[in-house]
Order: sequence, then structure tokens, then C-alpha cells
Amino acid sequence: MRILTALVMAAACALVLVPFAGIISTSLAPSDQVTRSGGMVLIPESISLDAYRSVLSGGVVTRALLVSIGVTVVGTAVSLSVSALLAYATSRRHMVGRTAVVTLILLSLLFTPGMIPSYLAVKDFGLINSYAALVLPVALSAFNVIVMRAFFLGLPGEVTDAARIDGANEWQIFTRIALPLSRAMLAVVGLFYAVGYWNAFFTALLYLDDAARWPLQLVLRTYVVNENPLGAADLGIDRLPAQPSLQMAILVTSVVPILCIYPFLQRHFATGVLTGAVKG
Amino acid sequence: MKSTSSRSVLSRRHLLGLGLTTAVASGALAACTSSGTSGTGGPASAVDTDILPTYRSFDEVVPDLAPQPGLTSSGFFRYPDPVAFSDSAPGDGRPINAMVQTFLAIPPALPQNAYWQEMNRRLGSDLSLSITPAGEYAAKFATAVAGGTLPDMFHVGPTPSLPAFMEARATDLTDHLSGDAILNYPGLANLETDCWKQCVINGRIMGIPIARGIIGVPVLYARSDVLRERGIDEDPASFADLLELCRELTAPQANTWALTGVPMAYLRGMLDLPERWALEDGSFVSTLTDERHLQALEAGRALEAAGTVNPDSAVAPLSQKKQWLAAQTCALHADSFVSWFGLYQQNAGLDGFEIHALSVPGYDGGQGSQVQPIPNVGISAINIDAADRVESLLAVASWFAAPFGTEEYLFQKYGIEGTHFTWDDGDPVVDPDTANQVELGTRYIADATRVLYAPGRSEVVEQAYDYQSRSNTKVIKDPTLGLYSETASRHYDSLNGALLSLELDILAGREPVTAWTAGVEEFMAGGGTEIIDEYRRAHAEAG
Repeated sequence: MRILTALVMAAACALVLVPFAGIISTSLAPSDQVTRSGGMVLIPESISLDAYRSVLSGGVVTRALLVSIGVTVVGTAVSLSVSALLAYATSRRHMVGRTAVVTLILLSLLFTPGMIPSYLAVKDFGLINSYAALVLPVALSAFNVIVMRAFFLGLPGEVTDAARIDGANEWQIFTRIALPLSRAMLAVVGLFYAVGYWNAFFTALLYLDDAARWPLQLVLRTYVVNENPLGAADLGIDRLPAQPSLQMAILVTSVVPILCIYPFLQRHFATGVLTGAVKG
Repeated sequence: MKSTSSRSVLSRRHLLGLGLTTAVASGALAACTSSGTSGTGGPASAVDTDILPTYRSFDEVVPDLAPQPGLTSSGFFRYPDPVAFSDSAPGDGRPINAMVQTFLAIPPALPQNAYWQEMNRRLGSDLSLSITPAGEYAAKFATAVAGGTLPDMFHVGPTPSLPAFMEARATDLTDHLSGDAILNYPGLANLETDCWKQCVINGRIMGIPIARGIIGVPVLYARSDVLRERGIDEDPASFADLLELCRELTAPQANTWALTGVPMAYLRGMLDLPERWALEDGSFVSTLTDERHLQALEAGRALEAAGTVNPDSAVAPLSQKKQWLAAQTCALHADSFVSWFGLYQQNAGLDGFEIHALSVPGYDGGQGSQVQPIPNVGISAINIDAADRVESLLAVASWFAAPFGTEEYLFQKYGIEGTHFTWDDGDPVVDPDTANQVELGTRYIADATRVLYAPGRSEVVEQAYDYQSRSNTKVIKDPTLGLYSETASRHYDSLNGALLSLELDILAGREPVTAWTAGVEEFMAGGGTEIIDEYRRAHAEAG
């Protein structure tokens, strides 16, 4: 039975890992092998970093990578700030209008604006063709606010009462007590936001006319999913590697940064996620 | 200038509805397909041919291979000595905003783009472009429509109720383009009359065709060098020959298969079978219930069952299939006629790479039919809010449509000499370092009539010309050109998608060929009957 289980597990793992291996192998395979194979390569004859050199040589992909990093870092910081403030405020029992605000937050979970109303709002705020259009319309996620609020509601009242007796005001309680106690939850919610910003391509497509401002995921979609071909000049290089290698290198480049964050936040995951799951 | 008082007015709510419907519409640009938006207006309507523009071909450049009307394009072995096309800059000095799609890489922005800067200088107006990858254009177009941000000139994206949309958002061009009026815009006058049928809406010319003419036809390419190596020097003369050829070219143990995919258009051509619609004895009919569909599917199944089709073909994108052809993984590949030249460009580094289009034989011998879709890949329009400068914008469109052989064409397709291209034995050779600046997508506002030209490959031009001469003597034309069906504009894509999905299932052996009949019944019940009725009425109206 154990052997059977192991075999099934191995097959399941292979189903997931072999395509990844193919992506990485193709990105590292020499161009002539990729051409000969007619596309994907599972075992490269030799390792070639040409595709990565091309992708990171300062052309459209490098620029898009920097844009994505910038939008993700700034967006996550903005989102965490406004979400934490709103969640903390609505978790305080003495806040005036708390129920109405929470109801509004919940309503936004039920009724989400569609593409065109969102576009009209962004346009009316004068955000078209600005990076702010990638951050502000999605800065606040009702789901994340609910998760954070649940955590703040769970903070022991004695701690905040003690701080108040010691002369702390609400801002000091928030920044010096509530936030430091919420690191696990902030890490998890921050990751949710970061992944959302990192993966977003549609907002950029709608709101940014200038392709020089495009984030990596829109570049990925354009050149890998929709298969608009990249030229050597787009990448700022002289000789173009095989298109499949380039496409797979872009794919790997788009996945690696967010994968790198996971190990650092992993230990906070159980605490952070369970907090929102048990109390709302 | 046409009065707008008679226009049907679209409310913001209606436009939002249009936009939302457009946003969820899938896939191909409706304006480019026969999905109900190929012209005219009303639930079912047709073109009033009296208002069509006069056709005047540009004859200041003499081709090496003369065009034969309806049969071939012009063929050029070398780029002719460029002739001047316009006396002055077409722009009025005011900025021009435009929205286009592109199938290529997005070009550098204006400050980093010497070509774009030079284009602005030559146009006499600053051109501001919103360039969107073709795969995302539908969403971008829908938001621009609903947001009221359509620019001065725009490529018309997929739009249900096209007549209502065009009446509300596009400038009526009839007074400027109908009959001889178009002669003021010689680039546009050089577009063949048929192309304009798609632009006639409710009896008025509301758009500009993005014409491809007879170079957009589907063909089946063969790797000539591979066939020659195997001692094969004749094209198949029947389906039995094709099957035999495919078997001969297939060796799965060597990772090679004959076909990159089942060439259904080619098979239907063998059977003289229109894909969806036809004119029989002067009346519009559907061919979906034609027994020959079952025969074409049986033929496709036979190719699959013989193992001659690459097993990944159902999920492989077109670029992958082109890679298979280049890598000799497959020796036969169905594509568009215009890819003939592109495939050579893409595989310039491959020694011995040689292709030709297979003649279409009859299923049991004789001559088959060349399928000829609608001659345009869409239409563009001038915003109704820019109606006060329509003459200048049409002059710009005419400049974009400058014919092959002119200085304007040379600049638009190849850029600035010394910066974007150099001359080599009479042909412009693109500089790969700056090539990405040149494609701005303006060809989706207006474009020249296509000719046969492959720099440095005169033999390819001859082959392509010969193919056109032979194959276009017997053609199956899409009869929906110039006809409009409201039901098709709303439902054809989903109905046709279900049929195509069924076709894939049948070819893969997941469904029997007989399942086609039930699929067609569903198509008819889901709106197909209304579509046929509307097209029939439209065709009858057209006389």
C-alpha cells in the first residue's frame, strides 16, 4: 500500500514538476537545440544563459521588471497602511459609525465594480496613464480588511487599557502595541497584496497607454501568452535567442521574485491565516 | 458635411451595454470576421452599391508581374525607384489621436523613437497613438467606448450592434468618399471596390477598410526542400494522394509528422465546400447541413487516424506550429497566404529552408477551390467629435494607404534610410537594431493594397504569383461581405465556437463524425436560423 501511495504521489508530483522543468530547461537550452526540437526542451544539451542575458539586458523586460517591483513595493506599502488603519479603527468599539463603515466594507465584497465603471472612475480622477492607476483603485481589499479587523478585535483589551493608563493615545497604541503584535498577520496580508500587485496585468492594460510603463505581467501576457514576437531591438541586444527560450526566460523571471518572498513569510502563515478564519 | 439630426442617438446606458457586451465577447475581432459585422445596418441589411467609392489604381509604378483582376496581386522583384505620392503634408497641424492594435512588439515611445518623430514631421501633425496588443484590443476598445475616450481615429473593435455604434460614434464619410469624391484621397481610391462594402452602414460610408484582398486566403504550405530530399516533386492530385504523402512524411519514432494540424480549410476546398454560407441560384443559404461537411470531417479523421498530425497540434499555438515547420518536425503547415514571405523572413538563418503552397486538388482529382474570406481584416473610423476636420483626417488615412513603390510607403514600412534600413541590390534591408521603432500599428487605421514582394527573393514572388494565377481561377468567396445580421453580431462567435469545438472533438476521435448533425441542429436552434434569415433578407435587399 505504501508503495502504491508513493507511486501515486510521485506521479502527482511529476505532473506538476515536469512542466516546470520543461520551462526552466527550455529557457536554458541553446537556441539550435530549441529550434531542432520545434519548441520545448526537457533536457538541455548544454546550459546557455543567452535568454536571460537578453531578457535582463536593459530592454523592455528589464524595464517592466523594475516597474513591477516598484508597483508591488509601493502598492503593498500603501495597501497595508490604509487597510491596517481602517481595520484598526473599525475594531475599536468606541468609533462613531463603526457599524455603517463595516457594512460598507462588507457590501463591497458582495458588489464589485466591473471593468467599465472602474475605468470611468479612474478616468474621472485623472489617473489614466499614471502608476497611481495601478495602485489606488485596488489599494483596499475588503477581504484583507476583514482579516485584519478580526485580528485587532482579538487583541487583549487589558493590553490597550494598560497603555491608555500609561498615557498612550490611540495612535501610539496602534503603532507601538497593535502593529508590533500583528507582525504575522501583516506578513500574510502583505503577501496577499504583493501577489495581487505582482500578478496584475489587466489594470495596466486598461489604464496605461504608454507601453514603457507596462509591468512585467503585461509584457509576459503580450509576448508569451499572446505571442507578439519580440525583436532584438526590443531587448537591446544584437542577436536574438530562440523565441521559446526567450518566452520561458520571461516566464521564469516573472515567477522567481515572488517565489523568493515565500520562504521568509512561511513561518507566519499558519498564525496569520487562521486569525481571519475563526473570527470576523 | 452630413447632418447628424437623423442619427439614432445612443444613450450612455446603451453604450455601457455595448461596451460590457463587447468586453465579454471572445476571440477574433468581429469586424474582421463574418460574424455579422461585415457591413450595412438594421437587423438585416445590405450595401447600396451606388454609393461605393470609385476605384482608381495607382499606376505610376510598373510591377514586374502585372496584376490580373480577381486572380493575382501585383508582383515586384525589386523595390521600384520610389516615387513621390503626396505634394504636401496631409495633417492640419493639430494633434491627431488614434487607437490601434498590433500583432508585433510594442514600439518605443515617441521620445525614444526616431521613426515616430519623423512620421510626425512628414504628417504635419503630432500623432498620439494608443497601441494595444491585438489579443487585448477588445477590452481596451470597450473601455474607450464606454468611457467616451475614443480618439480622433480608431480601429473598430468587436462591437455588437455595429450600425448603432457607428452611427453614434463615427463620422459619416459618404460625402467625402462616395463615387469620384474619393479621388481627392488617392491612397484610399487605390483600395478595391469590394473592400468598401464592409464600411457601408445603413446606406452610408462610415469607415475605412483595412484591406488585405486576395493575400489573406488560407493555404497549405509544404517544405519544398524536405519533399525534394524524399524525391517528391509533385503536389497531391486528390485526397488519396494527400493521405499517402502524409503517411510518407510521418515517422513518429523520429519525432516527425506530416502535418502541424488538420488543414480543414484545405479539405473543404478539395470538396468545393463553403465553410458556413453560400449563394445558391442567387439566394443565400447555409452549407452547414451539406453532406460534404461529413466527408471533410471524415477526411480530417483519416489524417488523424493515420497518425500524420502532430499529436500536440490541438493545443499548440500558431508560433509553435511554425517552429515545427522550421525544425522539420512537420513538413506541411496550414497558414495564411501572406505568411509565405513571413516564414522566409523568420527562417532566414536556416540553410535550405524552402516552402511552397500546395495546389488545391479536387477530392477525387481535378481542381479544388481556393477559399477566399472577406477581403478586409477590419475597418477603422473617424470619431464623430472630429467631424470638423474630417478632410484632413481622411488625407492622413490616404497617406497611410500610400501604394507600394511610393516614398511614403517606403518610409512607412521600412523607416528612415540609414537609420532603419539600407539598400542592398535594389531592396531595402531592415536594421534589426532599430526595427522595433517602425511598427506603430498605423496600418490598422489605413493600409496600402498588398502586393507580392519579398526583398532578395524574386523566385518566391514568382512562385506566389503562379500560385495565385492557378488557384484563384476557382474560388469560394464569403457571401456575407456587405451583409449585416444583428443576430450574428451578437451570437455568431459563441455558436461558431461550439461548432469549432465539436469539430476538434470529432477530429480527435472523442466524438463520431455523425455528431456534426446534432451540433448543426444546436447551432440552428441557438440563433443560426435567425442569422440565415437575416442574411437572406439582406442579400435579397441587395438584389
